[in-house]
Amino acid sequence: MKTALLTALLLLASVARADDLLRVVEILDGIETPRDEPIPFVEKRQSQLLAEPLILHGHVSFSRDGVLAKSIDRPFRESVLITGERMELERDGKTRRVSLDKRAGVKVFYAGMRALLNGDAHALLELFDVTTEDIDERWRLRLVPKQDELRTFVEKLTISGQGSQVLTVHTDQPGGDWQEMSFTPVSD
Amino acid sequence: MMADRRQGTVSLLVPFGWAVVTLLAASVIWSRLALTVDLAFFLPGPSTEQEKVLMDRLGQGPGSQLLFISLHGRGQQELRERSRQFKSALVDSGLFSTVLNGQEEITRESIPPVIWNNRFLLDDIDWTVAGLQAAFDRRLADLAVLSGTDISELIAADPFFSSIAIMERLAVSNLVRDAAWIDASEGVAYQIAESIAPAFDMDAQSRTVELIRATARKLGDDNVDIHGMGAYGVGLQTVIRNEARYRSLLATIAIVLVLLAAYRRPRLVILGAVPLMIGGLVGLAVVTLLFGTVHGITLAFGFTLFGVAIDYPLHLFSHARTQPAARAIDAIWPTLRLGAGSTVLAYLAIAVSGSRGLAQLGCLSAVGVLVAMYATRSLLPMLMRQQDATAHAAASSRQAHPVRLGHAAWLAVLLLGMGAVIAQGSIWTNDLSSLTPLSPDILRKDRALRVALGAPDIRHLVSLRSESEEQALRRTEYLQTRLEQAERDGLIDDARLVTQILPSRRTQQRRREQIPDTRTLQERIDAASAGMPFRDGAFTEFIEASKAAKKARPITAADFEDSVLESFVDSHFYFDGAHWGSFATLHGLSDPDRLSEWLSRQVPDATLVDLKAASESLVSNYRLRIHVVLFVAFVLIAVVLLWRLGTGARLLWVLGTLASAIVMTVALNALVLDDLSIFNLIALVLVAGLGLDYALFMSRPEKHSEDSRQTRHAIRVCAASTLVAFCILAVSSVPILASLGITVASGVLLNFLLAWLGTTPRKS
Repeated sequence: MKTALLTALLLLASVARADDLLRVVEILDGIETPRDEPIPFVEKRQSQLLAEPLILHGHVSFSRDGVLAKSIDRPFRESVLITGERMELERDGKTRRVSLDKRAGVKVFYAGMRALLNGDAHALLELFDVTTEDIDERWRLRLVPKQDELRTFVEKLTISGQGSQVLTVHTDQPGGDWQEMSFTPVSD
Repeated sequence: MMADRRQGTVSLLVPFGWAVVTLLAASVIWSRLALTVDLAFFLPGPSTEQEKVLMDRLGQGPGSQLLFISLHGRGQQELRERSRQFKSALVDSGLFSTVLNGQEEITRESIPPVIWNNRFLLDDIDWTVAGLQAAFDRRLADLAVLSGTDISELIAADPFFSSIAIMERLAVSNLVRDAAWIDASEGVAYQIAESIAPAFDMDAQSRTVELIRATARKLGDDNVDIHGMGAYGVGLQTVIRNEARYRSLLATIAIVLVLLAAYRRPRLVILGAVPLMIGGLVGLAVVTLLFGTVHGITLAFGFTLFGVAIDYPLHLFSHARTQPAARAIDAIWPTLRLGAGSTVLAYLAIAVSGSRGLAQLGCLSAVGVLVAMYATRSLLPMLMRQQDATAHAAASSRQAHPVRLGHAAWLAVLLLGMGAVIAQGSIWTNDLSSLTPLSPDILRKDRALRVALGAPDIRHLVSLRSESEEQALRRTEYLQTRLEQAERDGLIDDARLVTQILPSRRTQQRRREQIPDTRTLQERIDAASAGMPFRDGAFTEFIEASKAAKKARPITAADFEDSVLESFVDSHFYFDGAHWGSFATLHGLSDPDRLSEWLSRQVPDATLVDLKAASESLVSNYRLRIHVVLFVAFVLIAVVLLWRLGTGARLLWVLGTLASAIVMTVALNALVLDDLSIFNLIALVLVAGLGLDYALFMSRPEKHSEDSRQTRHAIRVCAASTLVAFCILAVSSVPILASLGITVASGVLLNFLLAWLGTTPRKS
């Protein structure tokens, strides 16, 4: 069974090395995702408009039906719901819907996160060229979108973690903008 | 010898003359006839301000170019994907100014250049340090959730997001819940497409509708539903064409069968069609020459009204059964001429009833009847052979004797009919939709879709008129501020006005003056962004754009030409040759009376136009006018009859029989049909024409019993052929055709029965 899965994955990930593949499956298998539970995060966002990154504090949660909810508590309050096709921004009691077709950056981020948290190596390898790196006890996944079009929005996603926990998700965009979301390790 | 030759020349000349007339008419029709199904064609001229607005807006008002499309599919995913592909195909076709499927958002690319370039003049902007600070706060919050070069560029050039705010205010359907666009349980995805072609341009609309159908078919949906005025027009054209073709074929077959049964001579059936064909062609040719464009309904209705002319050859055929045709026509000619002449009077009355459509209708049928009558007189006896007479009666020179006329039948029916009409109260509908050949179901669905998809209220709008363009815009700006108050007071949900994208010059000037000079702006930006993480020079593009806006020339209506907002400006702001007018379209109006009363206090020069009320007053005035015209026609006919028949029992009987048949037809139709429209009124004119024909012939003094037998035979054949033709129409799927069929069929039956029962034939 596992051989069949690996063969399928190998076919998908023609450029990736076989040992990378094994490691991807291993890492994804090991990740624990608390569902419907708010996970505290700190996010740094750098834009070409900013002299220094914007630092945000808040919570994210992933529902079982795949909805990613992000709520920012500081320095201002803002909340976002992301589903497969769209995101909804809530501000001053008004909701604005944004189609992800035109927000490919968010779409790539969401797709990567969803595959990762579902432990879905197949989906991950279908969308990204994946390489792995291990430094001490930490692992790192480097995801580069396979589609040229998507790479015009996201150059790469770098996800690092330790054991079963995801620690940071770093998104690099063309033009120098980047975002890095860090999750506070859940104490055992 | 000489006399014979002259006779021979005349007998050649007459058919030749008619052939030339027919060919000329046919060539005029062939080369000049253009058809239309413009729904406004049968509407009368407006008399009040509200009616004027209604007529101006009909077919080109806000929302008239909107097509509501229901795309089918299975499951949320398939519907969403199909909706996306469908929208992109429609956008690429270039036939639409807007296509919405609920998946759109405002991005930098979707903002039209005219809005982007003038964004600082189209919005009230707080250029103070505090104002800038508030804007920067909001943009930082945007950067907390959105990223990418496009967002950064948008913020750098327009930190107030004025361009976004302007576009959001205009969105056709910004009140719509997301769920309204895709209904997975019903398997439907909705789209709204605004066609560039106006609703009344049938050729362009039919191309547009065909593209929508072809696109849907390509995506696997063969049953796409399209609603909206343009689509209805196209559908109507097809339905009317098919129905007219199908029903007229059926009616022709039925009439032929009746005539064959009556005369047992196929030759006579063909001959009977000759005056009808000539009359129809000449009538249509005259209408084509006078009006150019002919309405589809004129054709359908006109040939129906003119169908009374089939009675003329039938009278001749019946009377020629026992005598030579030439003698028969001489015998019936005075009665035929009197009947046809009176009918022409009634038809001419229709022609002056107040709308282009009715003018054509009256003209076509009056000319047709007149020509058919003369063709029957001069051409048919020549074409008929001796054998066409089945038996020869001895020529009679005896004195004609009056027919015994009974007055009880018509008097009883008249009283009964009047009682029934009075008992039923209001029997006429004032609904404008009764003048459109659309089924009430389609109109109901149209309204429901508009409400569901948040399209503007097409029943109410606020209208303003001023002497000058600038004055109209200033008044509209004032109206805008008051409607914003009405929104806060809960009187409406939202309003769209032209000044949202085209402010008055005074407002533009004020906004221009408020833009700080470059140095001041830079200082304020520095002060406002202190403590924020924006880098130095982040807003250089904004400063440059502000500098340009300070020097820009004022924006005018012409700047919107060829942009996606052109139709918005056109449908909210117009010049009628004397005044500048502006319309505000409303969303979520719940209490029109309250708003109207509120407006009369707040903005006395603005009127809340209720298009439905305007249309009802329009229809009711229209009907009143038709009533008056028909009454005058009735009096004229009575005068003509008085002149030809003299005072006496025959005149009383003819008018009484006619009046009782009409009143009873009205009473019966009001019972059977929900409401009677102007088209039923027109159908009654045909009933009157036929009734007059029957009554005149049945009451004409007769020379012998054979004569009386032939008259009764002719009336039986006339009534039977008309009855079958209109019964076929009565079951049509086009509501007005069906309604017309019912009115005429019932009227013919009553005419026949009253004329039949009111006379006693001479016994030999």
